[in-house]
Amino acid sequence: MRETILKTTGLTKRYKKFTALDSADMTVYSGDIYGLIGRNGAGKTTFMKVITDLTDQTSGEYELFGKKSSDTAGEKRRIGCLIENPAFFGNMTAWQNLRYYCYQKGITDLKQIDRALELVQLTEVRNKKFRKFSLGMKQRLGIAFALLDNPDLVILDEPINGLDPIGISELRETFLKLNKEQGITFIISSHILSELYAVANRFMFINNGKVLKEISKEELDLECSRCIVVKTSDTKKAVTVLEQELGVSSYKVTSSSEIRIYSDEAAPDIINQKLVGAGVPVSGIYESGVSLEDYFKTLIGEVSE
Amino acid sequence: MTAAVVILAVVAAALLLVCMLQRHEIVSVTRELRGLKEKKTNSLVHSSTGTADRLITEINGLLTSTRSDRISYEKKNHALEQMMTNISHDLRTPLTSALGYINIIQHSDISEKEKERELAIIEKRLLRLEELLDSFFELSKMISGGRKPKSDALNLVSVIEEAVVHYYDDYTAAERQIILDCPVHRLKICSDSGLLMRIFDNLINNALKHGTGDLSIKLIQGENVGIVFRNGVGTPEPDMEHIFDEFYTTDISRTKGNTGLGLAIAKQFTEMLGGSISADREGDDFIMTVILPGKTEQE
Amino acid sequence: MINMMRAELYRLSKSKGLYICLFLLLFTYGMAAVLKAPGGISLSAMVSFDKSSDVKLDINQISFNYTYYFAFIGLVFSAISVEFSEKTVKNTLTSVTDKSRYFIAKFTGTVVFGLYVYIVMHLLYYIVNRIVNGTAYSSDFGSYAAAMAKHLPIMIAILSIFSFLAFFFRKGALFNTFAIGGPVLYTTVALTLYSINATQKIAEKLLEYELGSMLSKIVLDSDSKYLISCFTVCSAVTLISFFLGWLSFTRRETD
Repeated sequence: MRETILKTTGLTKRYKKFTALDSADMTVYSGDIYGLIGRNGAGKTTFMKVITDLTDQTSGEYELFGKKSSDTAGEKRRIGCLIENPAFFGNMTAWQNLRYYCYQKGITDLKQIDRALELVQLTEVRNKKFRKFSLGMKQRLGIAFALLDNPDLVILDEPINGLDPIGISELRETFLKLNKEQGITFIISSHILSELYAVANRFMFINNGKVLKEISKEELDLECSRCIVVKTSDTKKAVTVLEQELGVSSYKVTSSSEIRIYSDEAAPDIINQKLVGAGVPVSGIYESGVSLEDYFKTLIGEVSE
Repeated sequence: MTAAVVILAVVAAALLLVCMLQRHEIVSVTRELRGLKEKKTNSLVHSSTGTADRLITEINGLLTSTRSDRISYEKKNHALEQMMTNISHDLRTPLTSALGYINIIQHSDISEKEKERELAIIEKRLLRLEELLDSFFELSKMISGGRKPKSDALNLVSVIEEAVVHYYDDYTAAERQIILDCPVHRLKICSDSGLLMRIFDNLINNALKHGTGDLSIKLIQGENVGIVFRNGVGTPEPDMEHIFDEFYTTDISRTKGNTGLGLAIAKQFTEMLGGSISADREGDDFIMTVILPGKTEQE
Repeated sequence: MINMMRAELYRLSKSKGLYICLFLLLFTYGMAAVLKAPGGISLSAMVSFDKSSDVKLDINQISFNYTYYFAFIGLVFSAISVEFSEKTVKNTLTSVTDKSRYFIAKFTGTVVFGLYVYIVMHLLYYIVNRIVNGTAYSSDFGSYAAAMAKHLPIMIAILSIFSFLAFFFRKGALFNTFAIGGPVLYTTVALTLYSINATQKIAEKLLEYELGSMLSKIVLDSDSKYLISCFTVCSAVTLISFFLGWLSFTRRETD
């Protein structure tokens, strides 16, 4: 049985008239890497701020490690996070900044600092002042801070901001390794689905403060994979024809008038011929393959309309 | 007088403070340790007053090492589970097939000649089953660490030659050749001839089954001994990253009689002998390199 | 909480501003000892300092010099305002502790460090003065310690107000303005009220508890009634500052 790490019910946050988070329900199980996807201002950061206790929710509840939101102070040590921009003291070096937080957290083993810096490839600049850091280095130090003290849950808000492609892939490997070996659960937000796709195994789409959809990677693959879409008013009959006469087994009835076929066992023209031959009214048949970004756009579009 | 009293009072107060801090530290460490025992977490013990930092560091060191043990144990356990699933699947395939043919012989009206042909198929399936069982036995022995490699003085060249001779007919039948390139006729090392035989056997067999073209085996002498197997890469293209994984095979349906264990076994055995094995691609050439420790002639 | 304070100490040890403040402190006290005259920065708009001959140099200095006032501003600025300006407060709030505990740790830490600086500085000054100028210019340790002890509640009150201001304004510049201009503002308001007949009584009371006069009177006069009322005012100020600071930090959005 996997442990429930985070569970929110009807979490809502209002800033004066603006609703940043609109009754968000989500459950995070241990060992998952959660991808939080939404456009800028969709409510990702607000969501993270609420669950990390940076701000109080207007209504709704959340549970962290099985503890109610009013009682999470004791569980804070199990969370590492980077929310919005990384913030550290400019007059201190990377190492000193982490040393400061080691004091605060009560970490006695200073090798942990070096380990955290190594995970984000900052070992070489450990004695450089934070003020002189580049954007990418700052971001890395923020991630190092989140990984300090062996957390069980790591919350990262747009962690790949300002990083170069090589840096991104290195970090991705680090996240995957930590997830696999130490079972660290991640919640990572981004506005670019393809970036999250490479690391997350569950996705949550968020727009205008609402949780639109929660989907596993397998389901997302299925949604986005190449397929043949058959439009027909008689899906039941069409399915029997597909199965018995064409031997098609991987398909999905996506609505009462639409079937998606994922295998390429049969070409569209043959399918069409067989269906019509069996007396199934076919109103349209075409090949389709949505890219991740298109999928994301349709999802958001569906709601804003 | 007043100064002395004040100083003493200050010292007493400071000592009391230290005592209280230490007491607090002990209580908080105890509470944290109890909490850690109850839940599955990466968290460690923290200091709360800084009066017992070294003790806490030691406790954390211990905690970390038990956890990494647990991680490696779970990894191994997972691999074993995977293996069990694969084994049952692999064993069932030839068995089901053989049973099917037996069923046909029993219940259908077929001629003697046909019966004979089907019996031959059954025999083939059962031989395959035997081969599989042998491999599994070998692997399980290896995993449980039951076999310790011997360390006898032996002639490496003659072991390679013996392995090559084994496959001579098979290669000739496939109109392929094995080209042996040894600069010397005798090369004495201390090793286990049985294990070496299995390694070479598996590699040559692997090249026969999955490779194309001639197989060249080259012996390189240095501080260590290198044996390079080179042949054309076969189709489908192997996934170099997983080639030594147990049950890795390019043939997903597992119908061609591959166990996916050959290279895994070769790797395990080489490592048991203190050597290493690696696979490379060089254009269309597929290269396997076995490096053995060159302990030459220990009298 | 001790962890938070240790962390603060570590960070303060890395900040240059505080060293400058401490150097300034050492410098003025050193000068006072060498020149055999009380001196330093005074804040009060109306310094009513009568050179009574029976008061020795060190007691005079303690009742007159408020250079540490600026050291306190530096301390509170580095410890609290910087956390807001660099936004590092969120790091601690997300993964170390909650808002209330954070506030209490910062508040207590500031008071403890402030007092520490005050006590160590004045002890140092006493020792140096004793060695340099001898008993002619320094009083016995008992009465010096008593004078210092009488000041402590006032110091706590000052540090509390500073903590409150830092948590209330969040912006370092605003905090500095109010912390530096505070005593002058107080006196100005009191004097304005004094000029109006209706509020003259209140103004008199206000002037009685003006920082400068309180600091010197409490040491130089031995009126126990005034002493007790001073302590009452200081405790009230400390408690109110603590409560208001706590409210303004926990009840407002962090960003």
